[in-house]
Amino acid sequence: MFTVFFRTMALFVFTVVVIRCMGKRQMAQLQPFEFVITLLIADLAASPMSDTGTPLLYGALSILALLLAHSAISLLSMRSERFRAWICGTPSIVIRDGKIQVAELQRLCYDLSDLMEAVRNRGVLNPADVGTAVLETNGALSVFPNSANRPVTPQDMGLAPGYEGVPLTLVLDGRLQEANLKLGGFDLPWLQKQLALLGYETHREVFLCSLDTQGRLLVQGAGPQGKLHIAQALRPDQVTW
Amino acid sequence: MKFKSWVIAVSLAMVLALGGFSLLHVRRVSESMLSMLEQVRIAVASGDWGDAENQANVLHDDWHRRREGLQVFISHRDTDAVDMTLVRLIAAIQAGDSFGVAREIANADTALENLPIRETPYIANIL
Repeated sequence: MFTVFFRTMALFVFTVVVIRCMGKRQMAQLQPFEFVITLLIADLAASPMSDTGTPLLYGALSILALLLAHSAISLLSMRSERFRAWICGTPSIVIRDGKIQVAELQRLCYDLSDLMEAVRNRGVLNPADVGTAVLETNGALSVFPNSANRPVTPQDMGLAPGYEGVPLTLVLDGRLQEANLKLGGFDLPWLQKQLALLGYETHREVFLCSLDTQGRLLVQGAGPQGKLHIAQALRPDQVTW
Repeated sequence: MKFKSWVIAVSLAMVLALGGFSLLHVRRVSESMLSMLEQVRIAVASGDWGDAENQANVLHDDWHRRREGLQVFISHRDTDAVDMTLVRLIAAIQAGDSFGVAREIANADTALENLPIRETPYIANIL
């Protein structure tokens, strides 16, 4: 059993080192050690499943070893920035103030064609429109247009929009979301009254009911023929969550 | 963070408990089987084939009894190897084949000794 555990840990460390050496281009969305764990777990689970001569505990213990490794790395990453930088790497600015950082691209072994492709994938056709581009530790490229090409914000227009928070889902697939109802400071009679105004007798006839921070109630009836209603249930200043 | 610490502690405890228990259990079974195999060897050496066959059957029955529990912790190939060796040993004793008996006793000895060795976390096993 210990043999299996140490073999798993040794293989895991070796694979993480290899993936780090391959660089950020090889992954997307996952940190290097998470990518390795994803690869290994699938194989570790599959082997004892198909080979009845192998005790299931072999696979279970190996996966447990990966869980231990993942938890230890996550914990250390949270406690030590240095460790995190070592295990996950650091984000790299590849375009700064519109200028491509050639030295950084060379260091990352990141091809210019790959950079242009990633910029286009982010919806920017003209590289001249890019202000900053950051290659993240999970291999994804974050692209920020320069100030002349970014979308206009209310602040640019001198507007002060109201608060836009998370809408509360009050009914989900006919089921009442009591915690959200309580969070909003409402009760069932209030909800039933609102639904009755829209022609619904109970919340069970509702597929989805949500209330946004502007006081708008969105209701969709259950079933394929369910109608969509948007009604002003509250004034914006009455919103308390 | 607290949850992660708990996960680490519990995972580590389970690994140590399972690993430690399997190692001790396999070692205990191996030592018991080897001492019974020694009785078979003594009986054969003294020329008492009847006693040798009885001892071998007792050894085989005991092995059968312990095998299922053992297979939870070790590869079935290892336990199957011991199975085959004991069956051939009994056949050799029944046939009165001294060379065959000596060969199968040596094979059984090796197979039973290897069980705990393969489980021990030596560098050679890990690498």
